[in-house]
Amino acid sequence: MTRGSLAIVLHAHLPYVRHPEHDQFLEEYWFYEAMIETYLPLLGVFRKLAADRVRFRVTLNLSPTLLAMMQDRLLSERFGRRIENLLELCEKELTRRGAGSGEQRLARMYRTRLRGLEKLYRECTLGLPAAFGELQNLGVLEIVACAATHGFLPFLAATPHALNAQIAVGVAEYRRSFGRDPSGIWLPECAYVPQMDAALAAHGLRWFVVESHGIQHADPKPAYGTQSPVLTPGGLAAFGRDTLSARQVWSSHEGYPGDPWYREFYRDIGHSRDLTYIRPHLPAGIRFDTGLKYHRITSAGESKKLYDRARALDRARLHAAHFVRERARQLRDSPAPHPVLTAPYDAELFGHWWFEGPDWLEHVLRLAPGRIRTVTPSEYLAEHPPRHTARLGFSSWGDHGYGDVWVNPDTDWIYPALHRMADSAAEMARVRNPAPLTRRALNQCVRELLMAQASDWPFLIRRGGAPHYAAGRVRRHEANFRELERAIRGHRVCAGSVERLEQRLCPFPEIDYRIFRAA
Amino acid sequence: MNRPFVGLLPVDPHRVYVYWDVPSPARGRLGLVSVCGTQQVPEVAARGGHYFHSLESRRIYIFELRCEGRVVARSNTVELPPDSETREQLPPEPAPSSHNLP
Repeated sequence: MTRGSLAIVLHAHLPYVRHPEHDQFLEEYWFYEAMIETYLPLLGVFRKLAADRVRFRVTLNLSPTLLAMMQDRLLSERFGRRIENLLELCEKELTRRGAGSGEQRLARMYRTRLRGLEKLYRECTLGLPAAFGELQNLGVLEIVACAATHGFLPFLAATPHALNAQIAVGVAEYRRSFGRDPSGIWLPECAYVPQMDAALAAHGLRWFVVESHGIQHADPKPAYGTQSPVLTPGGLAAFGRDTLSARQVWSSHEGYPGDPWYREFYRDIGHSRDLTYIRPHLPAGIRFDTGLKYHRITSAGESKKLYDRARALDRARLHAAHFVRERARQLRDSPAPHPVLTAPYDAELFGHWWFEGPDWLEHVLRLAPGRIRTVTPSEYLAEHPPRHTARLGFSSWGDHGYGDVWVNPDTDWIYPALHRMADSAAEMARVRNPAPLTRRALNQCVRELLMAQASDWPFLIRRGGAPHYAAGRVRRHEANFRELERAIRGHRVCAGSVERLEQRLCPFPEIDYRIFRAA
Repeated sequence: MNRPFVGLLPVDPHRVYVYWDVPSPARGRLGLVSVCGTQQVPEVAARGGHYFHSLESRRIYIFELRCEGRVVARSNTVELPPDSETREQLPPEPAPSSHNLP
């Protein structure tokens, strides 16, 4: 007899890194890498489970910028070429002079894996969003909405029209992609302030996930902590992240991904092979991960042993059994009448950072029936509508739990610029019956603004991931916005300029500049 | 176009970030004042940003830009969360070094 429920929530997101102006562009490879390492493997796992008639539920968010890239023809062509290129690299590795038998065995493993992923990709003739949508139609996945470009919504509350636009465009893209209304929303960075309630409810959203302390510090304090959702004063259900299940998967010290038998992320042949040899497989000749990694974590030291796939999969099975056992124990011991453990993760953890993550997830979902019941938040709410209302404060799942990852002395210059643009967009939204070209320019303005609002840029600046690229993106979108604004206000919109900007930045085909009138 | 504004962001339980812009500087001295009156910078430039630290027990904040006492712009409202000291620490959002030992 099982007691309680487990809601696994995967958040898949990448910033919009499409660069048609270059044949090869390093940041665009983030997308190809995540497709190969995370999105296709996860799709494969879910399809396999569904085909085997395993009873499972997973909640998935595909952010609108990721959806746009998955649906983009140019990126699709380039992605096909990237897989072919990596298959060529596997062949080279198999015949490389000096390659040991262990490395050749692993090169064969990667070749088989890439061929399988390529086949899966070719089978998805309508694209990955449609393939995930089919699993939603089967009832095993619940796909949820997200803000348009993953803006940090508590900061956009300073300009309510911008907050509303992020949510409205996110919901519209969901409808366009999946042909139905979303029930829940993934709040970017799990970031919440009470001022968001009205905008979320206005777009028909019924639930979201917050970081643990968002629930634990609510007023009044919820009796069952994060093990039962609470209603906000705006009538939305808030599910709190479960601390224990987070730590077991998240932490590099206590978490599963740090196991010595798992594949080492930081030993990629893209960084170690002779540059002449590896250059044809790098973006514009710049050192970058190829995904071919031959070592296991081994220990914290520099010396690494060769990866042993069979042993790593054994560990994934063991860790999955441990995870299921621990969740069952938590649920059994819970004082809540209908406990639910909400376990949200970045999808890219599975497969990208943690190579064996998709295998681990598959084992968890196969082992769960009879021990714990996996649910989606919507399913849970239908069975157990929350009765307790509490006011939640500001929280996020970022370092320190609030907003300082996104606003700090390195990034605070961004926010006045966003504020200025949002005010301008609200003014331009008053334009009535514009000529078709002016309408396109107005719509493009909104695309540029939304793109500048992505939480990824301040994150990448703060963490040093790609600070110049990230800062450049904010400045470029602002410059494009101003160029269009000047043309619109001066009644001299030029078709060539609009077209050029549309070609470079073309997500959200149904966007309507009047969205900035709404708030 | 080019209206003055002041925006307010919650940073953490003890800090807010205030930014402002007065595109056509008003004649007279610009100052930044919280509506409750406990936080202020008597003289500021036409555009800029400022972190207010160690805010007192008050949790709800609104700031105004004033020119010689006259309100030029008013911010959004921010409500700070409870003190973080009681928060159970979780590992932060994933970063490359968080999931696989270096």
